[in-house]
Amino acid sequence: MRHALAVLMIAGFLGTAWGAAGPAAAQGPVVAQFWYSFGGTNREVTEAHIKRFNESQSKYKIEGTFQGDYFEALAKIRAAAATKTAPAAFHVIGEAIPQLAASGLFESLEPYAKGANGANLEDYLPGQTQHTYFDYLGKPAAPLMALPFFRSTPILYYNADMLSAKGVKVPATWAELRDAAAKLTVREGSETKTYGFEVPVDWWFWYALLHEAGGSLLTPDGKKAAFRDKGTEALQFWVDLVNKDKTMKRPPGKDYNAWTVTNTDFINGRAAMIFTSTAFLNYMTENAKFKLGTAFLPGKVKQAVPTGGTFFVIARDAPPAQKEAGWAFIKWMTEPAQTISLSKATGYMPIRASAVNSPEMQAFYKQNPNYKTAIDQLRTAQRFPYTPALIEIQREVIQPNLEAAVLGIKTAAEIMQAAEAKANEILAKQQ
Amino acid sequence: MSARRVSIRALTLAALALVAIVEVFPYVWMVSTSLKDMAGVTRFPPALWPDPPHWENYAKAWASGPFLRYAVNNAIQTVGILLCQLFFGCLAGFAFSKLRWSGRDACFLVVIACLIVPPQVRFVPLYMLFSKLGLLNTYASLIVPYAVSALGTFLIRDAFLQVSDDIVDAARVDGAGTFTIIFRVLAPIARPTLVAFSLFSVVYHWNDFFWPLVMTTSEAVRTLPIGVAMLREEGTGDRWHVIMAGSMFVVAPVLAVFIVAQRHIIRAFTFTSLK
Amino acid sequence: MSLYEWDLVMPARWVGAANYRALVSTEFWEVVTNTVKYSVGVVVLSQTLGLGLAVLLNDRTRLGALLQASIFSSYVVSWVAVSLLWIWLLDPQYGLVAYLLRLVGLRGVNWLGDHRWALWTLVLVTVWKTVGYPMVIYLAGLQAIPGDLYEAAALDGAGGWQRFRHITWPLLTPTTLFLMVTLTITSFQGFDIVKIMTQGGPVTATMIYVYYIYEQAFQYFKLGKASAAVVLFFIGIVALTFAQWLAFRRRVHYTT
Repeated sequence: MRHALAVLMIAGFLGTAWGAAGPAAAQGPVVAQFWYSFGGTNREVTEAHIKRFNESQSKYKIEGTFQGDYFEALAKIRAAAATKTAPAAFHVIGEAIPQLAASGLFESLEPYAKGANGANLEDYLPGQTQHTYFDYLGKPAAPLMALPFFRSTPILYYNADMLSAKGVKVPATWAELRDAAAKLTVREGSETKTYGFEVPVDWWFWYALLHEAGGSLLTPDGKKAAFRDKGTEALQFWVDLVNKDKTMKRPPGKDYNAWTVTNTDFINGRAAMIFTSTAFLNYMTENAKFKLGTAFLPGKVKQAVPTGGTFFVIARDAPPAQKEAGWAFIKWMTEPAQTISLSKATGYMPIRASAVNSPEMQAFYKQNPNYKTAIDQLRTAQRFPYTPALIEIQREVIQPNLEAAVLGIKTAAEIMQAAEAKANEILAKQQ
Repeated sequence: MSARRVSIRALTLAALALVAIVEVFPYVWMVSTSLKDMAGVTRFPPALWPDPPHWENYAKAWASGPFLRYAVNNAIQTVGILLCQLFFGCLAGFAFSKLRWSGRDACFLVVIACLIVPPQVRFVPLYMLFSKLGLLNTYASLIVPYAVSALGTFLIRDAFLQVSDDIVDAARVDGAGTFTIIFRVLAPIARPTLVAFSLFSVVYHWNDFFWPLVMTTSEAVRTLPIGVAMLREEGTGDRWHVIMAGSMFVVAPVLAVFIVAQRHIIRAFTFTSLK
Repeated sequence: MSLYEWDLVMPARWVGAANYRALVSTEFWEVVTNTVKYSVGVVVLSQTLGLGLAVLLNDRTRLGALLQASIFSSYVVSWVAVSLLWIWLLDPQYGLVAYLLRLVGLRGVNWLGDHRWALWTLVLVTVWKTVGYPMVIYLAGLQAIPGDLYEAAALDGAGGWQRFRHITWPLLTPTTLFLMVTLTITSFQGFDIVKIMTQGGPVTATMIYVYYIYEQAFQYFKLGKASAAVVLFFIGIVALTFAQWLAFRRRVHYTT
């Protein structure tokens, strides 16, 4: 009796264990998983589009799962890949693609693009496709593995009411930005009520400043780091604004937490000008109680911006039927009609030229000129070097160390010097 | 009573009351925030009670993810772990207290060592093991690592030790098998210990954040604490009213149970610790 | 595992002791220092406060029970909820704490965003949540002290403070040792609060040990390094517990 009881208990919990593992194989539409990293409104927009896709045809059914922010999701994807349970489709930040591709995570999309349900790769805006996002460093281009999803550039948002009240014109150079920030900062005693400027102390914006100062991340052959001098200049600019002029606020929080603080401060009138992604344009337009203006990032030697956002990819280890479903989904998502609806609902750019030039979008831009800023800015887009070291340089060498300079713990020069050494170390391992 | 003693007593009470308020008021604030709208949240000075109360925040938090699923998963995880711990704890407790075998004391030292070592120490190898077995994202990955509890074994052994051997011998003479002895004879006698340990285990595992975070990615097995943590969105400003409403899903049940059974719960913690 | 290099996707590579060498860099020592600071802060504060509260509360009235329950309540609530709640309370702009401080004319600090304060803020929140536990344990200990000891002392003319020093404190030493060991071990396990409130930041100001392991494993995919850290953690904790036990064992009094 008691033996049976014991056996039953063990069987019971093993049963729940197996039962909960993996989606059930179904007759009917092929079910495939799509993992995404957006919370809030973007999550709702994504889910709405998944629903529309499922309703528009009966061959495939996509299930979306929210996995936390980009980096948390990346961890989970790696873990899943290790057990061959990666979702059929997911999206990754561009910088991660070379390393993940080298790990064999991605399915090559070339056969799909050329196949029956193929895709036209000509119609995209500059900097959006894999081949225009990366600089292949003189080597042959990597095979197509990624299609653009939500794409963006950083732009300058400004509180037009504050600027006109103080007679400040929109800055177009670093010097003008510095000037404007000083004029727009409002202090009350020892407390700063309004900061002239705020930006997350983050890789993406540093990358923009680096190129605006005329520098680049790596040497043209991608073998060594080249960012020390201009990178120091870029970082020093922030250090001065925060510590010398005291006109820039450093938003606290790691990674995207700082971005949230920046946006909230801007909306609440605590910062007059900010840099952040065009992806938040919808949020800003809906919530700003002042006249919202957008502009290109101010340049120094030249104007330059990185593109950002994510790319759709398909896991190589997923079952073939699911991969097909994944491809159908991502192809559908990149069609002009979808990029238009995705863009209008969020502020991310429509990635196709035909979408931008369509009468619908042209009318939309006439009414909402702010949405056009990022697109026009694309002509100053910078590429990223295609090397597996890229994501490591971002996450381990640059990103964690930028804050230390702004906090006054180390000098910008020290940080960049150490960064250069570490980056070269990582690059050397790749050879 | 002398005036001095009265005033000392008054001061004591005041100090204690102050601490108690500091401990409890944040929860009041949590409820208050959960009923505001965004404007109320960012208003300065903040109001204590929002008018009108926005009950729909709870609906919004609930709808932000499959919260029912999360709650069910949380329950399955907690109950599953508890049953396993009680089961194996009784078996092991019996083995360590009523049976004599070589190496028994050495093994028991290992159990004590496990009490000292924090669970996070085991997570990397366990993660890899489950990963290779393809058992990530299953209830098994949530339950099995905690199926055997060193604390449970320790406490149950102690309780069984208190039971005189005569009772065990008498039961044996009556023809009872080992399982009967453990579960029909000893366990009922050790009930206070079992109850205390159960409370301890349930509280710990219901609230566990780290383990499900590491072991699960799919929403099918996600638990409440993770679901609540995910209420924070990136980039578009925290909607504190919704986040607080969501947090209430985790806090309210626990506090409700606590208010009802506080004496038992406090006693359970004291009891398990003093052993 | 600690002797390999593995990123979850590619097969593991043998690297011998390289992981340990990579580990023992300046960053690692900062993590250890932070963890020790956090632990000492939590243990000392919560134990002292717990004792103080227990002494004040040593009565069995219903009011006493109510106060006791109120103070203990946070101990059973989830860390996730508590962390979120305190992020909100400590918000420099809209938080309740900022508001209350302003009422008395003080200006709040950026509790979680300032690298000088962040770790101590975490200590304070931890103490807020867990002070009920040492309080309750000490209470049990206090109530186990025979009342006639106090009566005898009072008859001898001993005042309150002397009674505490010569009777209460010595008889509580087993409890104190127990709490010290237990609280140290639990504080070393701190993770949830960091994951939700600061993620180790600003810079590395709140990077404590378990969070560091998690980050190495799941954000940087250095499982070999994470395993090495785990091994050291294990050794460290066992050694520390042992040391505490040995050092204070002789100062513990038991009632005969």
